Amino acid sequence: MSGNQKDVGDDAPSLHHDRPNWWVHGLLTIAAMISVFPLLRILGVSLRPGDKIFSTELELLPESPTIANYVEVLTDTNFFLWLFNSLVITGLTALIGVCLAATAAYALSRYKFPGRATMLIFLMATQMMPAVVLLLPLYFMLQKMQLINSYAGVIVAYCVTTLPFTIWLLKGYFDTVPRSLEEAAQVDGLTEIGSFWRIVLPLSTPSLAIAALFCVTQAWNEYIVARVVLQSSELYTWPMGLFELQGEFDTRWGLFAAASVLVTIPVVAVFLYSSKWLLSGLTLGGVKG
Amino acid sequence: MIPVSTLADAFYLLAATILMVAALEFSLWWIWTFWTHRLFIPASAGVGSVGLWAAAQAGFLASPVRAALIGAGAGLLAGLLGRFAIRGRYRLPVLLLAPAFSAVSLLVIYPFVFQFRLAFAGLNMFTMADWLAGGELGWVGFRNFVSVFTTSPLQTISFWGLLGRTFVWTGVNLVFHVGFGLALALLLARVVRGRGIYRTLLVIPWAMPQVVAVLAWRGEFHPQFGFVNAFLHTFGIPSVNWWSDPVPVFISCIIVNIWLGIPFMMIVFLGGLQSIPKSYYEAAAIDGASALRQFREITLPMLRPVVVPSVTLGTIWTFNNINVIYLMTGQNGGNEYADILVSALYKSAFAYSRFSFSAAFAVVIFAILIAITLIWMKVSRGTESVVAR
Amino acid sequence: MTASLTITNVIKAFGKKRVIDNLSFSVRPGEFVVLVGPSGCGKSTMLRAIAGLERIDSGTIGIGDRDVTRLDPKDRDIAMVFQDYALYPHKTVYENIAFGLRVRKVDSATIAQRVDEAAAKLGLVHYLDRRPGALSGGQRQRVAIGRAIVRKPKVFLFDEPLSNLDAKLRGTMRIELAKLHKDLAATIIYVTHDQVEAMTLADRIIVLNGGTIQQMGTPLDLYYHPRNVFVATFIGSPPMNLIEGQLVHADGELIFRSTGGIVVTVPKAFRDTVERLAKPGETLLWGMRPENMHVEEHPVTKTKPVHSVYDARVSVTEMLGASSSVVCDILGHELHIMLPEPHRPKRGDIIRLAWASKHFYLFSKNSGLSVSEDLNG
Repeated sequence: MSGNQKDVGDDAPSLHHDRPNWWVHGLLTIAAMISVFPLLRILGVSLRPGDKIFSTELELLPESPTIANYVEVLTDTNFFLWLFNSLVITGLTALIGVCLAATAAYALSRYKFPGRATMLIFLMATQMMPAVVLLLPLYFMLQKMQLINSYAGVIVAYCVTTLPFTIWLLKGYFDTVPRSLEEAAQVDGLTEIGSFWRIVLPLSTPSLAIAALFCVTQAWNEYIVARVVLQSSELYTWPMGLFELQGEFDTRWGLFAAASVLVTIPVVAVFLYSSKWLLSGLTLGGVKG
Repeated sequence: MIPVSTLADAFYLLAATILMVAALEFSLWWIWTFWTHRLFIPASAGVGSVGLWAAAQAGFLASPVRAALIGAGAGLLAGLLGRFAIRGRYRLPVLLLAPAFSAVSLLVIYPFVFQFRLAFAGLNMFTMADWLAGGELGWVGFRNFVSVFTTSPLQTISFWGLLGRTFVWTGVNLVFHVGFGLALALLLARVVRGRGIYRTLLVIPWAMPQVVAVLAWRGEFHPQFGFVNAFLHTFGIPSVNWWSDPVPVFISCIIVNIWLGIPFMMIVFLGGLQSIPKSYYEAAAIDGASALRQFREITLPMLRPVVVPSVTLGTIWTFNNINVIYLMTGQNGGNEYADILVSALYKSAFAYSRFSFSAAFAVVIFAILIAITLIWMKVSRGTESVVAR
Repeated sequence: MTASLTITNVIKAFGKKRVIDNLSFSVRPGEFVVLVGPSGCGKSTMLRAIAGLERIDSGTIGIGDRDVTRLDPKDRDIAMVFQDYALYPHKTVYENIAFGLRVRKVDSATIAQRVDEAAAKLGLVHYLDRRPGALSGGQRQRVAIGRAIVRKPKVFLFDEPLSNLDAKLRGTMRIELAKLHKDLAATIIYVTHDQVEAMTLADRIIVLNGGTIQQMGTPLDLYYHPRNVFVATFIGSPPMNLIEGQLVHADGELIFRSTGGIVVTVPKAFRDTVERLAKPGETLLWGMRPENMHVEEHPVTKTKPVHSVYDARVSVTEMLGASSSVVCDILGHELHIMLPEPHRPKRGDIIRLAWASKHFYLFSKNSGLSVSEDLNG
């Protein structure tokens, strides 16, 4: 992976590289420390025996680190249930999102029809809207459809925010596929839909993966909407599960920290691994201009 | 650990989803192939109404009869529209767009319209029960809109206070995001060894789940046990009550959001710097320009196409960021010293149950966002590049 | 035998502008027809319309004895080679070539046989397992051609296939294409903006400009009997010189006198036509091909008045090896001349040139049409 794809900044020439840059390294180190500091602190708390969060020491690692918190999180709480719920919801959101968005993005990319300009502007505009603005009526709608407090309800709610951006992203990608490929396929004997299905789509798997990844990152870390829609504890996604560890009167900070670390590590790892792809996807969406 | 029933539910849902998506795409193919058949219009009306009736029976919709009628009407309309109104060559794109378009209509347009209606009703915590029992929504005119502007959405702070605070929030964050992001990008561009490690570490605030990061910071801002006050102590500064005093609460939120938003800007700027050809700098060096001069005359102008979209995105994300404020101020039962428009909206709807009021509030916020978007579009002439592609 | 391709009164407009303006022509089986013209003349659009990739506003397109105007590309029995080759990047060379047959559900034995045949013909046998990304430009082009020939279509369409190749490769491929044409006895419609390709490859050339046919004919037809100024200056490299002037009668002869003073006698063979077609007093353009001037060795004597011998001042000489391209000035007219070796004049030299040719080109400046030959009837 690291060998093949150039990452952001890999090629950037070092400006004025003859000058001594110890101070550059110094500043960067300080910045890096500030970046990882909260994570390290949580790590430290998670390794503390008992509930010694209540200490004013500045150190990161406690004197006698223990993994008891981790063990307890993994065995004595509903941690895996929360992860499972998140997985289901996120996976289905990505699946639906990409399936619906792909054909729409293709149509917007390849065809001119009345209303196209309006749709494009509408898509761009919806990215400016926060989900919150629609959350209340969505909540009532879901209630009427009896989808509150179910997987389906949350997935529906997530599709509201992910669909416009996914269409936008995929359209940007389809714009870069040369039309002559589809024309060659049509001359070869395929219909228009056939050329989309058999030539363009297989060629687009990387960008479909990016789109799916985007849906996944949106849905996995989401809290606000899930909190409104899901109510029974066996449906909790992991952010909600995390707050369940935070009881009314007694917060087990050690557990809380351990659970946080357990969730964060894979998320960060996936992000870093896929960030090259994700960023080039954003480029297609026009972020880098 | 995972109850079997949940597992079963999940598989059931997965199967249902796959079936639904497949059915949708299949129905597209069906429409496409049998478009010109004589019985197409009555058949689609029939299928539409039967499908909706079945869904209603299964409990997905309220009144089966009404649903069946709507279904029949929709099917009929679609058939007629398809056959007569849309000219031959638009068939394919319309069909390709149909699934996403219907989803968006259902999930975005319909709720919005409904919310608009809701804003003119008198729905709140008390009248909710009546409505759920099958009553009508009622009509109170513009009363809710008026109270949005005149009364407090929360406890004490007014709409205008929220508006002002939101702009301050967005502006301050933006300045620091861009400033620090650019600075870090420039620093990163200077080093060759270790750039990868630095970048990985510096990106962590963006990579981490926001919930975890914000809660971690909240812990550090704890007046007694948090790192921030301990850090201040080493410089002889007395403790600040980050959790309860109005201004410190807001400042702590800003600090956290700045920390969260810098990596994105940094990465964007780094990419932008990478794309400036080295030859410009070499030519300037031959011409005798100092480093500062080169920065002003070459780096900044050439970064502009990269800066504009990212600043736009960053502004939108900051303006609409609920997570930070909501979690830092203690969620539903917490204080309102840092609330911005969107977090106030959430709280007034789900913490205070002022439903119709919140609907009106949401419409107002929506109008503000539209106004900002239009102004931005005019200023940057963004629509042309969008539509031209 | 029915024509392979029949175009009748085809019109296509983008908005108000007619890109194809009432074109009609037909192509015989096995003929190599080249559509040539400057950018925007409608040639590519016409080709794509034949392929079915563009819709036409009115008119008919017939392939064989079928009217294909309303048919999808896949039903027209055509094959096309695109300018950017349009090879499927995720398929191997073999799969690229085989794709069209696979789609039509041809059995794999036949597919294998045809692909191998095409690969052998195009020198691709060792590349069948590679992906297009691993091939050079010339090889990719051959794969594109291979994809077209395995389908054995009624008509082959080529859309500027050589324009992405470097000059040397272009020359080689031109010869290969000519050989392929003979080999397959195929009907080929070929679009290019390069008149050299048109001249060398075509059985028949159709010159297009502004959506209309300027002239249709064999290469030599177009070269020696251009209908109008456009065709005259488009075909031939370096292009024909045009000198403005008028007709005068002198000594019982019809004479063309240029604005600068160059004098040419209208040859007897053309005189009647010129008198008939040229309006009295109208400004005319005399066309002179660069190779029709030669260096006059013999000294001019007073007793032998010779028209059309002039002293030319050389401004630029481009040495091409066996010949030289010279830009010179005669009486205020800047002319391009081609001189064989050993003439290699330098800048500032004065050379004596005489015009001698059995071809005579005279055009009306107003209409652009030829007045030396009656081709516009």
